[in-house]
Amino acid sequence: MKCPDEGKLLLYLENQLSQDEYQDTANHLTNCSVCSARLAELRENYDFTAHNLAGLWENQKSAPVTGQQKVWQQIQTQQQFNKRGVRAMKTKKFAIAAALVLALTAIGSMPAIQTAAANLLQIFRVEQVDTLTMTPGDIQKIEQAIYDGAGSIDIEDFGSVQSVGESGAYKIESQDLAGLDFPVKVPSLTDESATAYSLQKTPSIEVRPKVESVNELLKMLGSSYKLPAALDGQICKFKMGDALVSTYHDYELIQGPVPEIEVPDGVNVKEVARAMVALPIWPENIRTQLESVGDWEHTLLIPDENPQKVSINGTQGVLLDHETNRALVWQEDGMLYILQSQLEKADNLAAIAESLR
Amino acid sequence: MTAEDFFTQEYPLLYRYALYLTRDPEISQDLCQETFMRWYRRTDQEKVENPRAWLKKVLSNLAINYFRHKKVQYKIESGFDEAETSATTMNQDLVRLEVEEILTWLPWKEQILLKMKMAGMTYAEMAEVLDVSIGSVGTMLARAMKRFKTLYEGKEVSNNNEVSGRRQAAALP
Repeated sequence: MKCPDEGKLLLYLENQLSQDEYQDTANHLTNCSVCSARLAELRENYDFTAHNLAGLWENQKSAPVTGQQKVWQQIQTQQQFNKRGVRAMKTKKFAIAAALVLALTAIGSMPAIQTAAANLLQIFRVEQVDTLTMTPGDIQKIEQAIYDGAGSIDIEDFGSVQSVGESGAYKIESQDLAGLDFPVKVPSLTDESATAYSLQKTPSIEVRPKVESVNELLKMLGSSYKLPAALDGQICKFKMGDALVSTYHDYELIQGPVPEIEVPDGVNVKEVARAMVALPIWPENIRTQLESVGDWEHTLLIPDENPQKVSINGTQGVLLDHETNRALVWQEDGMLYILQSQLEKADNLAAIAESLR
Repeated sequence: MTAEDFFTQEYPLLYRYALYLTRDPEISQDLCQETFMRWYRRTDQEKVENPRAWLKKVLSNLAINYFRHKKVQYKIESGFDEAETSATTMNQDLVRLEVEEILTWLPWKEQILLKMKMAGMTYAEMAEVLDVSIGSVGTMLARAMKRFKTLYEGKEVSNNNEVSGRRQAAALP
């Protein structure tokens, strides 16, 4: 046997070796004076450290305890929050992000109606997710640009925005999963099963623009684009289906049908999008990003301070990597998936995502 | 036992352990909160043989994540102010504070390993929370103990010579 390293000697001293290893090491020590001297030194270091550090832990046992009540209250709040579907709240946040995209593509839009009757609807489904890097500073700049161009504005002056349908999260059991409108996927990386399921209902958002006011605003902001008068009061709808929230020990998975945008027949979404992008309210870095969106009808932009593009099983996903929370968003076969965690590293999230079956 | 009883019983112990590892009351509260949240999220609590050890292990793990994220050595922010330490300070306290200070000269992994070891964690537990083998725990601990002793003795020598030995001590390999 060659001379054991310090770590092994320590494990020997602490009786942490297997019986064979212990015996081998003991034999070696009787024959090797160098190693038995090293062992003696190690023992000295050990005793010295233990002697000097023992007081620390002992002393700690009488240290004043702070925050007990506060922490308990926070745990309580968070638990109730969970029951009501907090995790749900994050989904809502996403819905808001999606609504922001609606604002870009559709709200101000509803243009170019050729026929007066617009009872046929076009339905646009999200076919890809993409990043939109946007800082609070950018949002401020946009607000300032709107203010400079048009003064203080109230969204209600430009149409009505209504949410329609139920909102909230409902706890469901695993046997209910089969009754959902979509096939439920589960990670196959481990055989861990979800600790809880809930169904997140998000209301649809219906927008009815006041064409005249919108056009006035567009003009004030320096655009020559005009919504057609026929669009006045027509419904533009942003729909999110029910989403399933599966809670696992270290992360949660949200899955549901991709969001849809319904606009009156004849609306040229691309044209509207181009007009919106041309508005002089965007900071340069935002404009560049908006201009590069090729397919406005099927793209869901995820705005964040630093979103990253990642590949999930060959399709593009978006990673939001924050200090305390990570989320991965992607779509596949008409389903939108969000995987979020406070603990898993980004690489692990991607691996979990790719393992969904 | 109700959830609240369990919390009331375990919080002081867990908090003190967290404070021992991190030296920061607020961080300790956060770590305790997350640890208890995880406990309450468990649907199979009855399977945990020793809940107290479980809490300690999870907290150690979170503390390690915290340090890993910070990637800097942590220092005592308060409690050790040489100008104010006078004869009224118990000699014992002084020694303890000196020990704390010397610990902060060690890499964070070695600090936390030494502390966990002294708080009675097993080699298997330390290996698990650090996500390394038991062999590596042995190697790191042996190194940490040696370094601690060298630094401590270096400080004593320099104290006797009435010069600050911190820089030279901290510069040791």
